[in-house]
Amino acid sequence: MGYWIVQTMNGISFGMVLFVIAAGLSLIFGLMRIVNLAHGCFYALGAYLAIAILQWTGSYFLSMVAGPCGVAILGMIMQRFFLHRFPKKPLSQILLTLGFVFILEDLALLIWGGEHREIPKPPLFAGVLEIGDMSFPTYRLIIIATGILLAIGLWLFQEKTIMGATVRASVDDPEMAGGLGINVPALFTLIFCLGSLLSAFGGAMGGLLTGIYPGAEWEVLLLAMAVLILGGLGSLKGAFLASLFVGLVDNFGRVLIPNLALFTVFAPVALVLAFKQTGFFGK
Amino acid sequence: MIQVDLLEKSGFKKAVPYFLIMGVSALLILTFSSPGSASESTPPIKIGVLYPLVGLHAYLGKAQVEGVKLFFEKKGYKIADRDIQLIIEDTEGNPDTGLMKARKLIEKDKVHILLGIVVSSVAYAVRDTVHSNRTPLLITMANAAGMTRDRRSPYIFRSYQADGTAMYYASQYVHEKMGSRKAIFSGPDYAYGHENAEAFRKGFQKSGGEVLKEIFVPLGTKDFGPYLTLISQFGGKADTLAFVYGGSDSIKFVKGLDEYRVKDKFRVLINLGATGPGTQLKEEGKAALGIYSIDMVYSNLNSPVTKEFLALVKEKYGYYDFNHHWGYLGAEVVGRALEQIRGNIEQKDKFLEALRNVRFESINGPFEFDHQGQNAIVNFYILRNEMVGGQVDQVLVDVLPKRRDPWWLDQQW
Repeated sequence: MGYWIVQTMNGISFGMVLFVIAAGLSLIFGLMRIVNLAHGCFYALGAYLAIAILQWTGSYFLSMVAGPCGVAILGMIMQRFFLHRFPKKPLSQILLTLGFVFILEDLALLIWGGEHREIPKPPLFAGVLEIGDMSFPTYRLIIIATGILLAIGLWLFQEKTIMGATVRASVDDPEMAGGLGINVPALFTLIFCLGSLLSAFGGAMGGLLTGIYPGAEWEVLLLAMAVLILGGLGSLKGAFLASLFVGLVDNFGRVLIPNLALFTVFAPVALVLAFKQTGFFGK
Repeated sequence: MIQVDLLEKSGFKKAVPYFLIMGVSALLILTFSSPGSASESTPPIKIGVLYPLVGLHAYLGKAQVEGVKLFFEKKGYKIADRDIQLIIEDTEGNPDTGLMKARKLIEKDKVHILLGIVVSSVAYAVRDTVHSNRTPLLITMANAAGMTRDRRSPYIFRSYQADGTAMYYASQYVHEKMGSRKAIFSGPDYAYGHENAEAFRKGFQKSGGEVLKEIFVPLGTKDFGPYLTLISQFGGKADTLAFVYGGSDSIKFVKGLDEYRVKDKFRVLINLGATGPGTQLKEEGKAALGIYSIDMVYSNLNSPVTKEFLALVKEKYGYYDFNHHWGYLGAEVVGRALEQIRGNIEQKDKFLEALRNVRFESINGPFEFDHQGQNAIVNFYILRNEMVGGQVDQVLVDVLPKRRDPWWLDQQW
């Protein structure tokens, strides 16, 4: 019994990391319909910066917080000075963000090298929870808790605050919102920053789980897109449920049907695209 | 009179000074363009060095090239008074590129010897070309088993292990010396993992042990969590966990062994290639403590030859990597064979025989070739990760002397 509980929690913890990244992508791609291929790079930078900040300051808190803030600033620069010139032009956005990917990838390679790096865990979270004769690492519990708190926080922000309403209004009808005195361009930059921050925070969290290495940015982008397609673009609830779904299906798929391990995530995506293109809760 | 006119018309007279200059320059160039050493009449011995210098395996190739150069530099790039010329080519870790470069070295550069190769698919790709061109090849890392088994050739040698050798002997060691009776094996889900699983199983069963389950992790797996939990489940039934992993996977796996407290659930943990000194132990840290490993190289070997080599590497390159061993060893094997035949590489059969009979105390311990497969017969070291001077390092537990490729002992597979 303990075995099944631990496996379920493995799936949920992986799902929560996916959610944080997918939430960021949901804001950028789902809500604003901007194609940002560098979203995976923001994840990677979040992880690398966590390692660097930890080395400089020794503070785990700073490494999880300051890094994502730095990446948010990078996102702001990218959106404000480059991406905003190409609204509703996905091909240009793809080319532009791909260019950023090459630059950021090489920069990371130059600074941190090509080898696998681990983010050390805070001693507080280095323990285990014993369930029967199985052990479950404490830091994964923290990741689950963080993911849930973030989901609640984002939902409250979107549904219950004036800011959230403003964002929704500006996305639905930017002209009208502008007419009401809302500074739509500034708002869009802010959303982009938030999306980038979330991706980088996902990187810091994911880095705890899997470490960071060249190529991680593409793996993550692919998984985040799969989650968005399943959950439906622009839906936070969809992203949350789809992340849990992907995390659990991937986890159990791997242990129950090892030969189909690579298949377990993308088969549901293919099915959804075939039968309900807008995903579970898409608009 | 007419001749003078003709000469003037054709401008020949004006050209004469230029012809003079060209002639004198040509003479000067010919005089000074000798190979520039005592042996101007004998052409150099050309050694084609083939390694991956870009891509996933570049870190292996780069250090091995450094090892090769270190040996020949020590010899002043001369063996038996004949110059050594290294021609280094990048295989990119890719069989098509590797084959192209091998052909270039053999056909265009006319190398006498080929040295190197890390990636098994590259080894298999060049096999036929090397054999049909009768070019001696010494493989310094690719563990493509066939190269010294069913696909062997009198021209192909290997100064490394054939895939599975280490795990075969490890399985017997843990059974005989550590009381292992039931084991779980884990590795990456491709040829490397499967071949080692098979070798472990054969060796373990031969000793009387039983492998309860083999758990393979697909390449590109992000989260090892589910697999670590799966392995933990067998903690009550099996006493031993054997595993092989490299690169990023090895770090994720070993850290996971600690995070999921898998080390508490098995009495013996032994691995190949996952807890090496350098990046692996550095990133794994305390998670690697208490885990055993088997290898053909032990950096802290108490031998003057090894110590001298380590000092040389650190002095020349400022850092040390176990891959320096493989390049240096391969170069030394070739160098000694060349010395034996006094540099007369043109006498190919004599060179091959000298190579076959090379036998010396190398930087990894005693070295010789198995005459059947032309694979190395070397010591295998059983190591354990412990805290040494505040850092996690490998400590020598036991030596398995002069082990050969078990396929030749037991040709059932």
